[in-house]
Amino acid sequence: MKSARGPIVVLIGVALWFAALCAVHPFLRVNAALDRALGALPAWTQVERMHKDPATQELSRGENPLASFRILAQDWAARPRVPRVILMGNSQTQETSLARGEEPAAAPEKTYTDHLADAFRQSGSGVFYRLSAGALSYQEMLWYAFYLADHPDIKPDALLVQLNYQNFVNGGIRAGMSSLLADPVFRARIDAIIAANRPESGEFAEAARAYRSAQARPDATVNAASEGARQSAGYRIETFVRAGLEGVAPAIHERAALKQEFVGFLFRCRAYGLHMQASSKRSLGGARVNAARAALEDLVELCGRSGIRLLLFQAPTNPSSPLYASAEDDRAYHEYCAIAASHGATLLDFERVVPGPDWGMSLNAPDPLHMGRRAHRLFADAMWAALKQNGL
Amino acid sequence: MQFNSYSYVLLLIPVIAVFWALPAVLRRWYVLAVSLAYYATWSIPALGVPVALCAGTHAAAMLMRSPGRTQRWFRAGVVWVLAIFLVFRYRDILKGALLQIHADPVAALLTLAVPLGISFYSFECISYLIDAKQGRIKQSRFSDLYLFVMFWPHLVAGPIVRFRELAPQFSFSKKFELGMLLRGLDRLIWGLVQKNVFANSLGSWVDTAFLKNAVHTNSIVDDWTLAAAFGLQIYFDFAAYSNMAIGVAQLIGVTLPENFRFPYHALTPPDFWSRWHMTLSRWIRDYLFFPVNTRFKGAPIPLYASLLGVMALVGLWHGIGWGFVLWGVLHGAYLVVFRIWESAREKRFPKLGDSAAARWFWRLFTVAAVTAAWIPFRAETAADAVHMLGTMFGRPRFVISYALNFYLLTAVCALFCIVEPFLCAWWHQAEDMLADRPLALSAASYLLRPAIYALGLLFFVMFDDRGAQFIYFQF
Repeated sequence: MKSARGPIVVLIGVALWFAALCAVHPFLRVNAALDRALGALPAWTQVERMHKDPATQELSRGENPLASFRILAQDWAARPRVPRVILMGNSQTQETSLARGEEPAAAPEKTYTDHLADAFRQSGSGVFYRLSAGALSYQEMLWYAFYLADHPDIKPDALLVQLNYQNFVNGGIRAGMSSLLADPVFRARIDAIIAANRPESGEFAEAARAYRSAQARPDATVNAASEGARQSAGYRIETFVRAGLEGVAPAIHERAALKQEFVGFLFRCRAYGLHMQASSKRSLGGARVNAARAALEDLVELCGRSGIRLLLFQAPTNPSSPLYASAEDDRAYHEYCAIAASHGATLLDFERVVPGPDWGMSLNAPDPLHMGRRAHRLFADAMWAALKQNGL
Repeated sequence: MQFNSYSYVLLLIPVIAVFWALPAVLRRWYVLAVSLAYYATWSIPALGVPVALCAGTHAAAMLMRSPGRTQRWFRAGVVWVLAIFLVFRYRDILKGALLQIHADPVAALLTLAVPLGISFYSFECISYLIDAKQGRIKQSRFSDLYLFVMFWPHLVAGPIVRFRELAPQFSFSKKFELGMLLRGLDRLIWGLVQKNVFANSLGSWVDTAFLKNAVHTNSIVDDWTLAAAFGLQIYFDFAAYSNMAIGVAQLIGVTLPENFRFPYHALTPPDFWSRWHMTLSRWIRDYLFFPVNTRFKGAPIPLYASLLGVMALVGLWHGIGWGFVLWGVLHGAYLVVFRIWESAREKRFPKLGDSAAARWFWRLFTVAAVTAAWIPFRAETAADAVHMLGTMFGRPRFVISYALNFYLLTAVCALFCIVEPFLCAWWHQAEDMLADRPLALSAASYLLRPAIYALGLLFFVMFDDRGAQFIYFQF
């Protein structure tokens, strides 16, 4: 029995250290210390308590849009014959980063999309829905648009699509969005696009592959050995163990949060150590940009074909933190926007609507994307006026 | 049950505890039972395949002892193993051919899944037969052979071991030592981190960037980064599996051979193959390359042809596909080029070979050539691979197409590969230093090491992705 003591002590030591690490959230603390030392705005300026309303927002942020669409369909069914407007965009539409001088509010914070939803509701001129996610790519917008076009219960009369310098370097379809393939009509549509070898076919095929493998969820290899693996004892044991651990082990339950904190730490290393901030300048070029342009043009064409009125809008940019690396990049961005709109969409320009001091901070640098409270109000007013001018 | 699954990691605790609680005489049967149970967690019907392979191999080895019949039964044994291996490994091609000749009922039999690890244990059975033929294995029981093949830590993806290095350890007569357990845990937990943190993080980027349409617009920077990212992903993925296998075997006192020795630190192409998938290289060298070359007595042309041929076979071992073959042939070509250089250097420039410039040239050549060869291995189609290689060597356009994090992640992983040998050396040095300081050793064993393990497990949990598979499970 003497020899058993050593391993038991080691095992208990591991368990205790593990529990301590989970309880302490080490990366959260390190991040806070770094921010304090290097002059970032306090963490509360990145507002966490945002306004939530499943009738006007896709709340899963692209992770489970099917559930959100069911709620939307029910809500819109209750309000027939009212113009329907959907806005698609990135995290600028759903987050607030308080500017200097702005204090935390007691009520949940609203973004410009929430103000627009309120304006539509109060004027009775339509129903408004925000279909956004962080770093939403144009392939994802196209993916959503195909789904909307095929489903009359949630098909909008008008689609507002955010144009943003950063969006052109995003690509791919996130795993949550591939869950839309559960719908057979949509699946057939996507299969046809994959077969047609369109510019977005590669991304769509990858999303379809990811969806199929997520459905199989084998505890086996990706090759033929996975056949029938869902019925394998290993798969069932793992499912059982995971379900059990979710209930008792905090680290398992909180692993996403812990990972996020660690990713935040890496981001700080990048920002503080290498001076590569969210606001660092970048060039427009390469594979992603070409794919994004093609997807955007296809989106315009799809809307034209499906009888959806499309309004592209150039989102506000922070004058203190322009993202383009050269004047040529800036020109290229505007050119891409204009070319996309020339296929039959309205182009609205809000780039200079929000002045510099109303923008938030990303760590210790100006945030190129997220705006403060005043800015959201300002932008909502400008957009509302533009929408009225355009007959919405 | 995957090595990096929660259930596997948790079940190891009682499995190892029971092993050490049992009397030595029962341990081999216990390990055999655990190995069977482990394989059964993947597929119960598939258990028949290794059983059939072992039965055939054992019967052939026994019959080989009859005087004058050695060669005949050796051939029969090898044919038996290869037939089973080829039928399952390349069943899709075979199925297509059978359907074409309307042999539908036979084709229907081939809908069985590929038994996991078949490429690995088939090679082990062949090595057993060769060793038996050459008299290196005198007497063995069926249970020895079966345990050799089915020993669960190396069953699914190696290391590819030899009977004579594993069988003597199956007496399981070692006494328990805490140091042995700690060394096993070091490898196991490091493997979990390598797989979940490094390999999976790189994998999600690599999968997106290798998409069919994306690769045709990539720049030179994108494609070199992508090739490097995949090279690092497959290294971390496979090294992780090997580390876990070696670590778990160590937990029950069995030493498995090393499979990786910092391959991206290789100085020359042959050196790369003495560091990458070492047990496969060793198998190919001893059972294929040497026997072929002894016939030609080192004549250059047959030597070069056999290098190319053997490396093409190594490619084919990974699966039927022009990409694997091209990958193998490229590596064969690197070996041939190095051989030519070696013989030219010896004759004409004896001093040049030892110069720092030549050493650095070969070091950089090896890293670049190995990196470029990953492109056909991973690309979806031949056209994609050709286009990417064309961009890498002939279309200089210096823009980046993906998020900055992709390039940074690849750079960080590459940097880690560079410092990995130094970290390992430091770790072993620290162990040696502590060996004769009992108090410090206790503190390290009972306090520091558990803290490091806990941190490793935290990362394993944070980066857990149930859907991510080991790349080499498909081979």
